[in-house]
Amino acid sequence: MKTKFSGILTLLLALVVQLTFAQEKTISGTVSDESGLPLPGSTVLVKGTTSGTSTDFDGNYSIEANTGATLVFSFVGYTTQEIVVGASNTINVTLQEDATSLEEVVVVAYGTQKKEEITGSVTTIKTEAIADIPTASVVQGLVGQVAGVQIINQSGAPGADPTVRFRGIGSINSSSAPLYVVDGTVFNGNLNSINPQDIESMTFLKDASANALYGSRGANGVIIITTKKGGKDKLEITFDSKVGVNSRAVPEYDIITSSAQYYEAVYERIRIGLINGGSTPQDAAQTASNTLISGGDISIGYNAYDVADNAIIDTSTGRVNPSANLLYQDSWIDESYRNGFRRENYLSLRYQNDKSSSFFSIGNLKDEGIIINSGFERTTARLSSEFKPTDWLKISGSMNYAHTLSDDPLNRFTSGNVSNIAGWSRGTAPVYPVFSRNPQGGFILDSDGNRVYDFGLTEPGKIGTRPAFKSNTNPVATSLLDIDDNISDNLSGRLSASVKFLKDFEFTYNLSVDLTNANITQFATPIGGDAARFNGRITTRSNRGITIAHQQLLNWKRDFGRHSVSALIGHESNDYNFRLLAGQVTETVIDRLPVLDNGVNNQFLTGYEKDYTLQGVLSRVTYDFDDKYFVNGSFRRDGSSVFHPDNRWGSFYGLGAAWSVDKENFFNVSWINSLRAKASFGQQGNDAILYEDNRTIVGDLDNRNYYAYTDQFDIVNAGGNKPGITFFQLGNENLVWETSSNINAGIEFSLFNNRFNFNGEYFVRKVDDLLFFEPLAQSDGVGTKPENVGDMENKGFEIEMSGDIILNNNFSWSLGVNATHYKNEITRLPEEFIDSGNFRLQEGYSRYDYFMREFAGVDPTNGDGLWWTDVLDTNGNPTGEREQTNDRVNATEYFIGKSAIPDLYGGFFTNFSYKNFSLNVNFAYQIGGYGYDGVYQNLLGTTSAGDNFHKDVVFNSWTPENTSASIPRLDSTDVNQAGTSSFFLVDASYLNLQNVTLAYTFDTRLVNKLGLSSAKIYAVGNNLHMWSKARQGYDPRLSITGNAINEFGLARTTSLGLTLNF
Amino acid sequence: MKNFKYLFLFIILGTVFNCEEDFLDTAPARSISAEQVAETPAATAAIVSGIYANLRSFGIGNPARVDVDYGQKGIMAITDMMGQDIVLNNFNWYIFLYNYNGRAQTSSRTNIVWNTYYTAIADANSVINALSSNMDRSAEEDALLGQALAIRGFSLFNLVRVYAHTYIGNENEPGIPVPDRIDFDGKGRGTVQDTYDAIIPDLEEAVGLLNGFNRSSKQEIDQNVVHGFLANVYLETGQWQLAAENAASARAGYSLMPGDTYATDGFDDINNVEWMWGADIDNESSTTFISFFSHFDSSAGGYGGIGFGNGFKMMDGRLYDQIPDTDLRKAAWVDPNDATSPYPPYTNTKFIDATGTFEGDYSYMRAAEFYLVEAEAKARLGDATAADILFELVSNRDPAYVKSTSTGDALVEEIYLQRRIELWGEGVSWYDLKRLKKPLDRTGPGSTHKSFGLIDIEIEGDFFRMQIPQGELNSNPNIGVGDQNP
Repeated sequence: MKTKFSGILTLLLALVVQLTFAQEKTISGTVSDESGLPLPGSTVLVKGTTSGTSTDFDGNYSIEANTGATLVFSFVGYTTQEIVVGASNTINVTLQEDATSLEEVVVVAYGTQKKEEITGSVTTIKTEAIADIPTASVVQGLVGQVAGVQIINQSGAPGADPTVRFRGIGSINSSSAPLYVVDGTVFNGNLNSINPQDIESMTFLKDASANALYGSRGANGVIIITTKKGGKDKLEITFDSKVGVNSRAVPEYDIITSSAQYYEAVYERIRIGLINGGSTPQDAAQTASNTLISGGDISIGYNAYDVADNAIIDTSTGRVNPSANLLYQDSWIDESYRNGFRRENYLSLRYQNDKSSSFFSIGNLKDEGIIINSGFERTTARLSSEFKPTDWLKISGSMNYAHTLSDDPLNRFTSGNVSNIAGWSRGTAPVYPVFSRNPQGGFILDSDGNRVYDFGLTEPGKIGTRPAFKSNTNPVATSLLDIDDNISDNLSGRLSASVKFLKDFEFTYNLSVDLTNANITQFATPIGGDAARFNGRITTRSNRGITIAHQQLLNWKRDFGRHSVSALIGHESNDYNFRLLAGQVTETVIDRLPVLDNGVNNQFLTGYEKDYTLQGVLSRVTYDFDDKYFVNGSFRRDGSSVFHPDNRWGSFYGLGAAWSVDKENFFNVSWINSLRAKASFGQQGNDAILYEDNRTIVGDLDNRNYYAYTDQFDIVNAGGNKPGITFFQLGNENLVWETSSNINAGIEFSLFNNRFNFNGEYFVRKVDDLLFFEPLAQSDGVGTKPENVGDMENKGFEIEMSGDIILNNNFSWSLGVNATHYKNEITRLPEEFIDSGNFRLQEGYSRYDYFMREFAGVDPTNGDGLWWTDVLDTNGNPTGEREQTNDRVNATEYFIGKSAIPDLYGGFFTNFSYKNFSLNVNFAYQIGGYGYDGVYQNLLGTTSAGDNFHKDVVFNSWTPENTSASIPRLDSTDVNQAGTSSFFLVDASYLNLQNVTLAYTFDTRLVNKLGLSSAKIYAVGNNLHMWSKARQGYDPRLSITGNAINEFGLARTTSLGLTLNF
Repeated sequence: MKNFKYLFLFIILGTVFNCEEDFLDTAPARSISAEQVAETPAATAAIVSGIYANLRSFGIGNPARVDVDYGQKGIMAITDMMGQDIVLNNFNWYIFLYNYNGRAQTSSRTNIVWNTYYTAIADANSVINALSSNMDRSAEEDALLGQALAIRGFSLFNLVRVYAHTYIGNENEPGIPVPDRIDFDGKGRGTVQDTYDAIIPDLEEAVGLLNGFNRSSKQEIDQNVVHGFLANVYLETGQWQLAAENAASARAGYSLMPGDTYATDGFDDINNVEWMWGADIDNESSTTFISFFSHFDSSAGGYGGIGFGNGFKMMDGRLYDQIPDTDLRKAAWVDPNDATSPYPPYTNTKFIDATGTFEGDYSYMRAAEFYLVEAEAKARLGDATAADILFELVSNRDPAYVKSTSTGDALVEEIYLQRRIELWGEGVSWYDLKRLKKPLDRTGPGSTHKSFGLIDIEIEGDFFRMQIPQGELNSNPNIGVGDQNP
């Protein structure tokens, strides 16, 4: 090999002579480290140009350059070297290891740390990785990317915030939401007011040593967002534009969509119900046919055929009369959903010189949702500047403004309501027209010749009246005719000034203000729906939320030989004030004029304030010896206004240690580049106590109980303008924050010239003094009492791995994976058990262990569903045996042995780049865990007139002719067959193709001619495909508890983008 | 050093904003605290007013929206819909009462009855606990305590009639918890006797305390109203003399509306001369679609109205046929032979909300009821004036009415028929079936009940008691699965 190589070199040398005359020549060589090992992936650049390459797996490179040009060789962790091209066509370079360049800086609580100093669990996401992903809110795009962090997009409504959970379940009756910090101070605004493209990096603090400094608010994890700042000493201009399409990412449930099939299905439900009630098959068939349209339990009310009501069904076959002709067929699904258009433009400028730097950006997003008339628009402007007049004074500030407008027709409904457009469109019989029809099936037109929406009421000349629960509603019409605008102006300012003094000290003062002014305007149309009777209804809600925070931080840092010590002490205060004013009127005059003055009958006028203050003193000490041993400790004493004055102060701490094994002299393994071990322990708090009942209203979605230490009352109008006071919540003076004690131990290493990286961590997150709404007897009439009486534990591990599999001039391929597993267990409860919807809280079980009636199959003789129940002895006590019963209501509830918590979740990615192309593919997955398919349950319910069915009702439920079916008899009378039970649990495992980005970077020389420094075009697909074991329509990603409700489904977004840098 | 100047400047700046000593003391400005209530002189009166407000509000009974959950008037309708004199036209909000699925422990409907009253009892207890130990109460405080005791007694009485069989013959059967708001340990069911032993002293004490109390509106309970409660309680316990006396005291001072207005009145105005206690509904207190008139006014575009679901409430044809043609009340239901009516046969036009926007008032108690109570009690005592009292009421409604010559059980039956007609849709019919130990008969000859309501229940059958909510069994250590009604 060696000789052959020399031969080639000789040949190359021969060429050199000729190439010198041609000015440009090909230089080649090897880049290696001090020990002679090749450095694959090193960058070789011709200085002053953008032409460059990187070394292949053996450290070889080849590049074209002119004689006299300077080649710049660089590699992460090594000193950059410059070599002038001389006569030789071969340049071999040895790079020196550079200790300082390894010090990658990570943003942590109240400052930054070198990466190797960090003893806790921290994941940093550089947002270049996700800048191209078309999501309105930055966290939405990170599903599956951060080990230990579950990101759940609960709604596909554009601009909706996701639910984020760190390392298991943090609380039961308090908030489990993490704390957001933007540019150093806690952020208390709308997440969607931050333009993802303004973000430089995001840091996820997962353990005690990392986030103990956030004291009484850090228990559920901290997400630190750092925004972009001024860049190079040359004005950099970036323009980015994307256009795309939103479409439904999850196919609809397999519902009945044809009128014929629906009539047959309803006929069959009535017939089976009558037979079950004792009718003869003949009588049952006849009655079912006669009452199909009117006069029966679940009569439909609309005859879409040109035959008599009692002649739609041929009772001899149970099918639609072959001589009947369908007069019309509308599709609620087609009318409710659409493909939405998405457009986003972004421009940023950044500049830096010796004394100052600036960043400025403006952005605009218009994002249409997949449901008609839904959407999100945002305009952002950001200015951030830093000024260093001397080497000891630094002043910086930033201002972010965001105007958002969201329109969500589901907004007015409580979550999952069957009357919202998502629930309605799948749950309403396909025989009901969206537009009113005359008896011939033709459209009824208004005086302007427009089609009239059908609200299902009895109206002259119109076919049919919908049954009660389906009456006076048309979400397609009201989505289009109503107004539901949510406007928000968000202003966020940060100011920081720091002075260095006495050599080692630095004092910093930070001031932050987050201000949100919002106005929600709703106009409910007088044309139809629930406001028609009142000639329209207008609701306006205006609110203002402001958080002002001050921080005074004093830092000291000193190196003594191989010892390095730093200390921080600080004080912080936060002051939050929220004000709301809302009113509602009916009897409106001008259509679609959504101001209160346009109506006269006052329905309500409400206004209130909320205050929350917090104060803390904090300190941190770090010490390292010889860059090998790292220790740090932090302490915070915090007072929060949400607790009784006697109980409001608490102490929180974190301790951590790390050991860089690879720095030890005894450690000498050439293929291991780094090896670190770390451990931490500490305690943080959670003061975000919630109300037991939901007291949120549109415009104020904060359900926090800021006064849980006292009994609470509401002032009401007791009639005739006489004031009344009503009690609604018990308080508890002794209430304190929940305490989260965290143990974290991890190991991380890099192998093969840092081409393979691994980080693994084991964690125990124990939550003590868990706040419970301790259930008092329902008959005591006071609800529950908040108490710190439970303990819970999350134990698990998370791993992250990534590797560069191929790394050479033209082609590179890397892979990465992360996985998290945890077990949640309730270790102490005030009661033997507490029921919580489909779950029961009980010691030894997890927060989300299903407890419900257990489905035992179908009685083949009559189609009754069977459920397990305890066998009782003569005294009424369980004998321990169990038996099957067809009485669901009185059947015993059991732990089913299934949990909503997945066994493993995470994501993996693979990136390819070939010449100018790059391809990034991200997957998210979840293995194990069960969901509750409540939507399917609704679609199996056959006792409410006008409800649509899942096709399983027709094909897979018990009938006298299909006695071996696995689904019970679904007839028109029995509400228990589709009642809540384990029957509706589904495996929530999934694999989701989260996003795919294909980019092409134009050749630099080409774009330089156009005056650009670089240009890129890209295509991105978000939520492209999901593989799941659950039935079609069920989306396991939508909920932490896996309970499917009628929600705004997730969108698949495909877009094309262009990025230009000047 | 020059930089110290800046350092001090920043430190001063930083501390200026942070020096308030009471920085962490915030006061509630939405819901109010116990402290704020305690410092308000009129708080007790406002709490009593708050109980009345709750009793006509939506959503007190069940946290999730159920559109039959609108307080006392709603519970009156809930019980009526389980009787046999009201027919539900089609599958509608009251279906789960009409078909009895709502009685099951898993249903929100049983929760509505339970929680509405136990919430009222808890609030009343807070007033009772505060005032009963106070030995020098003002007259105003006496009246507040009297109202609170009345609300507690009335609520317990309704609960025991829903969750247990009638008093007579069931004295030792399980009753209902009687909470005190002193501790929150959860009370056991005790016996029916125990429950009445709590109800009667409450109401008797209230009568005394409310003596001379001149209420500001018919939304409040006064002495007459408590006499009304007691009359019904003693009727239930078979103490006929006390029932008759209290009934007479209850209606003292009230007159009857003219008989010909019965069918046109609409029963939607608290100023009606017969009304003794109710709720004055206006634009702000209206619960719109979740209201009595939404469900019971056939002309309104509510759940029970024309056009919108057609969930009409009709009279059973068998009862209608027993109303003489001369009876002016008969016009409050659609004549089956009337082809011009926009409504199906027997549909009620008794309840009409004249405001058109669901702001019709609620009647909880009418003087007419106490003619019937007094007459029945006297009939049972063998008092010859029983028929006179009945005549006084019925002759007002039916000019052709001839005074009854019956006595004893026959007269009681006649009074019962008048109760069914006069008080149709006013929340007594189901309690009467239980009290009079009659079966529920919807399937007998002439019944106009709908196929989805064809249920019969034997005398004191299981379905005559709602099951206690499953949540109570789970939360109350003193009521277990074995204490549940079958």
